Amino acid sequence: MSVFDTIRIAASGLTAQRLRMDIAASNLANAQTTRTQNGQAGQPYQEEAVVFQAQQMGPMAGAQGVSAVAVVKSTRPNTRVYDPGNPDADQNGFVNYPNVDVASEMTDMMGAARSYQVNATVAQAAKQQALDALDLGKA
Amino acid sequence: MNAIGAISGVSGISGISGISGASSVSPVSGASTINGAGAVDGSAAGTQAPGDSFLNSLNDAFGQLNGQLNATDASISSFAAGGSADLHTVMLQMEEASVSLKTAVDVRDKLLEAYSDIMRTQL
Repeated sequence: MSVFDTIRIAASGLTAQRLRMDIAASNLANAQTTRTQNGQAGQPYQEEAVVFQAQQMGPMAGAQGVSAVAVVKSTRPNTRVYDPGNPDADQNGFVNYPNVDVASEMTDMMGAARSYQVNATVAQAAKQQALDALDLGKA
Repeated sequence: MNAIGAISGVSGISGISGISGASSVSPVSGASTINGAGAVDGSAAGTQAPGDSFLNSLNDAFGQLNGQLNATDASISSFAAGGSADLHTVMLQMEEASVSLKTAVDVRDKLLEAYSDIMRTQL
């Protein structure tokens, strides 16, 4: 097993958590978005989540990194708010707001930030281990 | 009394032969660990044939280091140019290259140390 395999596994974790953070940011930014990317009204933004999968990184079977394989949309129903003055309101005066749960997105964001920190610490420890090994050669 | 002294002398010699036996074992085990390390290095580099010289494997290692430094250089350039590379990917690649370089420098120091040790030999 190469010295750098640990660092690469940690790097895959960092990339995964950054993507999770991106998705959380996207969900929070679009918590009130009532139109699609093409400007189509009545179809609000759908909450997204990342799906992760274990991935073989080095020659050793047990040491696995992680990779993001998909971004899935939540199937939770939209939030309907009565607001007849809104240009995106339907004929009954209801506006469909995204199914984003801001509180749970905030906790997800904090989880992503902490997991990123954890993976960065692992990478640092692995690097320190390599440097400690090099110190063995010092007088 | 003399006979007893002679017997103790013999046992002392047998003790010495035991010590010489032990010393003949230790260089062999030392050589086998060096061989073991060589085998590990060869499998890691993947390009070294069993009969290759030490210089060839050193050349391989420096080639690998050069490739790593070039890759790091490329990813720093692409990051600076606003590419899609992640910050942590670039940083970790830099750290990997720095650890590799430190290893190469340490190996060089050891080689030069051995060389100057031999050069200092009094004739």
